[in-house]
Amino acid sequence: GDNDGAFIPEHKLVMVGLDNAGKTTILYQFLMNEVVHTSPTIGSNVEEIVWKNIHFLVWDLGGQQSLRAAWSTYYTNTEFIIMVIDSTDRERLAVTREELYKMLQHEDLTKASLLVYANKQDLKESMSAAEISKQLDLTSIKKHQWHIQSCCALTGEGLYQGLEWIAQRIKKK
Amino acid sequence: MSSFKRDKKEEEEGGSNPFLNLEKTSVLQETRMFNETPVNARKCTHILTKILYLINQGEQLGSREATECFFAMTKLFQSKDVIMRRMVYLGIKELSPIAEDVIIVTSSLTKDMTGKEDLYRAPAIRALCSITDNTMLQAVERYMKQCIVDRNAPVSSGALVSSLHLANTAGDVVKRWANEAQEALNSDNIMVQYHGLGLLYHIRKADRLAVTKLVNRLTKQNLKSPYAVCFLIRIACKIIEEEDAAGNSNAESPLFDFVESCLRNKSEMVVYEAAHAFVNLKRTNPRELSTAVSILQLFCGSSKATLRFAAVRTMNKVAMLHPPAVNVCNLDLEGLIADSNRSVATLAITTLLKTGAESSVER
Repeated sequence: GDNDGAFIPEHKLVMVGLDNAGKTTILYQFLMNEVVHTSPTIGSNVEEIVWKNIHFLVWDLGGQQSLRAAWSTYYTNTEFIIMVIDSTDRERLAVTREELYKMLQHEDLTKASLLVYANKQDLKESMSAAEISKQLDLTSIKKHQWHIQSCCALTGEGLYQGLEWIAQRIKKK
Repeated sequence: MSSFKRDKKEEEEGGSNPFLNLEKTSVLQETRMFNETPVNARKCTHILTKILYLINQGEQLGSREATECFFAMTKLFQSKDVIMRRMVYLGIKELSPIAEDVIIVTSSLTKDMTGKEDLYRAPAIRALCSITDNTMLQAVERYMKQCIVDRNAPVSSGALVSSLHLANTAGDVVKRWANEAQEALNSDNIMVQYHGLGLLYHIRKADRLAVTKLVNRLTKQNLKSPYAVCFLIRIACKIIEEEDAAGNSNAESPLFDFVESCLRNKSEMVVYEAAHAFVNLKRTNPRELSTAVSILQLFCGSSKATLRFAAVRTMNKVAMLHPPAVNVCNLDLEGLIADSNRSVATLAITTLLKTGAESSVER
């Protein structure tokens, strides 16, 4: 009905990252605890996830270059940004970095916190979370709370540790 | 006339139309509400209604306004309210020709068209096809093919009709869906069968041999859908005329026999279509013409005004080409002069002027 859940606060999360980073797989791993067959997201997926009594509204935004300009229209009221990174994609880490800093400057995100998922850790050639953190120069981010979490979307490993960090931040508010 | 009267009455009652004094800019400002979480579905549905009303009244939206409104609307996908979601589909279709970057809703719509909620599926397909262009179509092709052969009739119909619209801009991709359209043609649902034939003909129409094969096969098979049969009659007549024009006149064309057999169909629509076809085919002989005319004569006495109108309009045309063939119906036509439907009466009079003798005109 219309008023169901009107008094349970929902927390808005926006999940971004380059195409093929694993955003949609992460979303459906949270939603159904299973791996769904995904195809490139053209546009966006939105799902509500309930975990530990917290309602998360997760927007998963397509990562192709043509759609990245549209990300900002989804920033209003966003509490957390989740940046998903394909840890094996060394070549495009610079692009991610550029997108990340452009995003953090957006006025709608001044109060948002940042969670970085270093995904695809199951693959041999993947970079470690520390290495990615260094390449992205995360320590230079002073105006936003941030955390980096290594994970594997296919097995779900590390995903809930990331969500736990978000839950802790929500409780402190 | 009647709608004019109604408007006047409403005015007298004191502005019963709550949308009468809407202002575009203020309605567009209200769309800010779409960004709120959780979504207030009742209020947002009302705002969507206002937007649709404005557009349907002819209000022009600029590209920027439309884009902002479109993107605001995409936020509503977070709510599961069924009525509001269906309004969003309508909004997508109305704004997609004006707004930019409309492909942003592709994923949301493909999810709805393949999802469990049947109420979403057909309208999601129609909305998806309004935002999809040639390049994006390849990404959703798999889903379109699945939907064409879906067991749910509205889903299948929606996919077929949308494919037909897409064929204008993405003909090469849609051409690859002929097998699925063929399968839809075997459906028990009359709409699905009709739309299946429509798409298949559109795909094949440039290939004369393929069309002839298709028609020959279908005329032997009893199609359930009267709409499909009517369409088949039209295609058959086109082929007959083309063959006759090419000089391959074959007096006993099986297609001609098919059209004749349709005169005995149990659907009025099909019978009329066949009679209309006979009147217009060049090769029709006087005996066949008289059969067709006697059917039209029968329809002149129908209780349905549309049927009387169709019959007398066709008679009017016959009277120009073969006045003697219509003479036999003069009495029926005289009966229509005082018809309560003015169009029917007018057509009856003009027809009589072409065929009638002095005696009947005096009467």
